[in-house]
Amino acid sequence: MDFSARKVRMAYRMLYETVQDIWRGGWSNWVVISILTSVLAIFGFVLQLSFGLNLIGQKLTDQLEFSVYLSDTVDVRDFAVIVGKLAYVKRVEVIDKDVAWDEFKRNFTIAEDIQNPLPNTIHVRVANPEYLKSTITAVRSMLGVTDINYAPGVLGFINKLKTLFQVVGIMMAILLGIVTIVITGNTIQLVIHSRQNEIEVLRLMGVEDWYIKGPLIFQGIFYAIISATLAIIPLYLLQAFLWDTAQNLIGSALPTGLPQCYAGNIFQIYYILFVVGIIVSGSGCFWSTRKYLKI
Amino acid sequence: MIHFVNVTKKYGELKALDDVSFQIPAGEMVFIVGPSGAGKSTIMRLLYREEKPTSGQVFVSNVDVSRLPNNQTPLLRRRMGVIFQDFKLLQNKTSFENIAYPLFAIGMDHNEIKKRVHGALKVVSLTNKANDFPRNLSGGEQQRVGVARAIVQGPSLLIADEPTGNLDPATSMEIFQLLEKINQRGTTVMIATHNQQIVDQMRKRVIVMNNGKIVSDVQAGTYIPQPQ
Repeated sequence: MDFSARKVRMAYRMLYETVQDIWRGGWSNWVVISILTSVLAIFGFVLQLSFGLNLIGQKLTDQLEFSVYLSDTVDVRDFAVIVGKLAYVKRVEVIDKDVAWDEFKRNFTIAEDIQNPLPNTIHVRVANPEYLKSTITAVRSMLGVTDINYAPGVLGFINKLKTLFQVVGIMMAILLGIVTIVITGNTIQLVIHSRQNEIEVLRLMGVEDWYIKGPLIFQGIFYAIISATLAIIPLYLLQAFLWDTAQNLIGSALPTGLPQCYAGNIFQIYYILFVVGIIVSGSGCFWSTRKYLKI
Repeated sequence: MIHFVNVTKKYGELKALDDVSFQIPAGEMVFIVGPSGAGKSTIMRLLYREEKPTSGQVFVSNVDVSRLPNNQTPLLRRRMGVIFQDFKLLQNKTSFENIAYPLFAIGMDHNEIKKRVHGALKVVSLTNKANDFPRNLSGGEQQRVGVARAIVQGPSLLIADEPTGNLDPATSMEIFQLLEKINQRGTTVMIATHNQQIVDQMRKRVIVMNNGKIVSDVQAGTYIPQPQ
């Protein structure tokens, strides 16, 4: 009982010392926070782009269905039943050539003697975008198929862009992570130097190592929490701006469900920035206390 | 209480201590005197494990501190009080906070801390300065805060390295009398000092050092000071 109460009191005192150190740091805290915020914001921007492209790609792929044009030698409904039994096919819609022609004639003025030139068509949607290509290949090999239409170019482009941003994102994350570790490490080094005398006194009074190092590590974590919170603000505003612009320009063309997914991503990005911030800032402090704090 | 056994301490080629041996029983008050570079401070630093001997053994309460693992050093230091020439007070903390700091660091109950700190302030006659910052205290008062901080954990050994080096003679005498009072309560006190005049008056055991060697070790009242 006494042991745990003692631990709680020690933890409280360490937090108290941390707050005092931060308070005493004054403007130097804001120097670290602003640098760390910038680094996290850039990192977050790369993440946001990567997430956004991933999401758009996913939504486009999800909504992609392919159209199959059939010769008059096959019965369109029988054909639809066979395709519907293929693995990963989610839905098959039959567009009867006569129904389509009637519809066409209703919308356009057509001479009565013109024969129906439209083929029987089915629209096929697959359950998983991964199997889109294999399903198309399977359907193409069936008898009576004259043509298949889908948009492979868009999908390929999105995938290439996604890969590019993932590679760039990982490289930038590593680079910025190292920069952040060095920056916070150097800041803590300055704190250690400015408190050299105090640290020596604590050592000589028999204060434990971790009690001296703890507030410095906590200080790094504090920087990370504040910086991640500040970094998410411009990212959120940028996202809102881009979303509004996209709505105004191509509102109806945007895939359904995108805003909800994108809104969810901002929390995911914050969570990542928070964790990354704590890891890099904490690592910087830990490295600095190990290197410069000889106890 | 303290036992140095053939202790040698070298800094490169320089011998700060050369085969030094002595014993100090519990409850004694001992002065270590000698010119600058004689090795007085090295003895102190070996005691609170700021340095390790190049050879030989240093025992404090039968524990060989020269072989103490690093993680045990804080515990050793908490069992002894150390007083420094430059006081080593935390400038941004009040007298109370300076004295209480080592107690907070071990998670002591706040009421117990208050009791102990006020007790220590009473011993050094500074109860009215508990909330003053070091910058508002005189040199003598700052050193008394240093003494209070050193005794607040109730150590059985108090070591003072040139405790009056920055103080005038009258204030120095007050500090030595304070240390004597603490010694009379049963604490072993070891003081390294230049202040031969006060050592003469205190009539305690005196270990005289020169060039890293003990040149004389005389019991209380028998010390004949060297001409200045």
